[in-house]
Amino acid sequence: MGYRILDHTADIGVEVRGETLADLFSQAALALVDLLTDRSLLTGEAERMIRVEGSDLDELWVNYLREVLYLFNADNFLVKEILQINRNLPVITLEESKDKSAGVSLEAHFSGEIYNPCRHAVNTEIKAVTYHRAEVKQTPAGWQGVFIVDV
Amino acid sequence: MLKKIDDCRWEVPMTGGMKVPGVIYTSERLLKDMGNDESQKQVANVAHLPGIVKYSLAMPDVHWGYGFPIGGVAAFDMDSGIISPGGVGYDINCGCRLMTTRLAYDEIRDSIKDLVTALFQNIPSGVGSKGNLKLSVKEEKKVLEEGSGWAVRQGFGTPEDLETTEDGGRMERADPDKVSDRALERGREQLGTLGSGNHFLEIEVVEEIFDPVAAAAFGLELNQVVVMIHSGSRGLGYQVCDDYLARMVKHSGELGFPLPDRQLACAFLKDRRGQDYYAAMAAAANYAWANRQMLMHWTRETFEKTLHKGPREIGMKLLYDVCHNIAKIETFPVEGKQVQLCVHRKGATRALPPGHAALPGAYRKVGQPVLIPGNMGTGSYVLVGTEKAYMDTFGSACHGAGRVMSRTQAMKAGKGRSIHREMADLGVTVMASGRGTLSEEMPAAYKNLDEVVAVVHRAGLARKVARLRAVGCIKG
Repeated sequence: MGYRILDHTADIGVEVRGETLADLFSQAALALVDLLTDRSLLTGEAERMIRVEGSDLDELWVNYLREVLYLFNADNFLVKEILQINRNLPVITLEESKDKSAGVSLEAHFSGEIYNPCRHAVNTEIKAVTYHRAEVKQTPAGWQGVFIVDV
Repeated sequence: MLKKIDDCRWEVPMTGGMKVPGVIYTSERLLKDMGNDESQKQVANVAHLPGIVKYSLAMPDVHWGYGFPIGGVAAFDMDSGIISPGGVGYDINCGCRLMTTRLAYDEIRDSIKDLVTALFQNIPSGVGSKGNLKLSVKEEKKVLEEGSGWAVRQGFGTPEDLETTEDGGRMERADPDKVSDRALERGREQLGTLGSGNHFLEIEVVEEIFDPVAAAAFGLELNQVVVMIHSGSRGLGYQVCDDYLARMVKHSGELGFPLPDRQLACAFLKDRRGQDYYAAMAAAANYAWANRQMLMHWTRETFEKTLHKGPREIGMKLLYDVCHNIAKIETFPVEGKQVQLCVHRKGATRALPPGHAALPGAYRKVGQPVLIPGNMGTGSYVLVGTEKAYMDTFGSACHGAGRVMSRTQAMKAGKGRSIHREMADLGVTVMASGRGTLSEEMPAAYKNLDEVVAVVHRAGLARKVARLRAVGCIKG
């Protein structure tokens, strides 16, 4: 599974597909980092972990991507690969994701590298991951998510 | 669904939960460019928000944003209304400043390349660029409180610069303690940097004067060299917006009304969350003013060193600095009464009429300078505010050309072409640090600036004063 870039006048939209929710979230982080830089040039020598929450899956989706972006903006950390994604309790089913009160969270471990201007090029400055049209939904093939970044 | 009002205005009629109609300032030609653009829907979405006054407005450079359209203006009642980080944008107090000089184009024609190279070296630009100073958090908080004044105190410019900066370069009610540690951390190293994307510093020449009286008041004359800076609050501003948007999304269930789009997340102006955002946004706005003040200072130094002339000979004077991403508490007439409102301008420039108390003495007779940057290579416009904008658009006009091509479309269209070379053929020397920037920002990616400005002029929101032609440009 993977992702494709959607056209949007001012910004960049991305449609991501995954077999499972964990796969979807993994692909999304890679898509975001691909917008920033050439991921094949990253070594993966450093590791980072993030924990995020959301009142529902859509909010979790944006909050998660905001954190991935923040790893770069604050710490110059660029994700190369996802080592592990744990979806903490409650285990998400589609029904539960629609229940706003349930609340969802996840923990993700990444390998990557600290940005080095001599070795890596940053293609685009991403100001933020927006909530605009952001959504996660189940499809016959698995899961699909959309996010739009402000560049 | 659009209803034509006159040659410059189209109405988005009230439907569903809209509390007021929408009004889009545009022309038949620009409407065609809007095509399937979602911006009309976004104008309608904004009209759903509580306390919105009169109408949800869009300027002729409107284009599809997220939540609020870019080029959107909306004013909210202080008692029943809301404030929305998405109605300001991530780059809080993104804006323009224009400096005049005593130089004529002929005097620098042969030095343009040297000037552009020196500016590119002296002014940090590009993605996540770091400045020449790393502030302590304590000092950074002073920047957030004092804005341009802080920069002037540090020796970046003169007190006269503050007189011709919107709000004197300092927004009141800024509270650095409402700015998160994350935002402070991101801001520490980025003060005094241009940024990337559509931000630029451009050497321009006054090519045409439309209004000699206003031009004289602004100190503009034909063939004069001027400098335009377009930049904002950098990572600090993005983080403030991001933090408060997330907080407001989290609590959106408590608002008591459904949001048509999560990106429209907001808080009531009277509530603590709304007031906290306002105080943090004002702090970020002050950071942006200090930032542009420093960029201007280094531009002055660079001109002096490169041209081997003294500050008096170059005479680089701040004509005006104005922001185009902001929410401000301002007073405008509503149904015959003066009412205090929270005016959101997301990609719209304040345009005050002659006689307004907020204007510096030198401009009080003619009105506020309205700076409209083009994109790379197309030059810029100087306009002047009018009574009409004061009455009809909460003292607002357009802010630029507005995109028509997405960035990916522009990258595709630019493939195999040397945009660099094409710009040189147009007579513009360009240096950019980002690889993709030149293609993404190529002139064809934007609406026709002349047409956008013509609509604003015809609609009477601001009058044309001068057109500026680009001769040299640095981009992030």
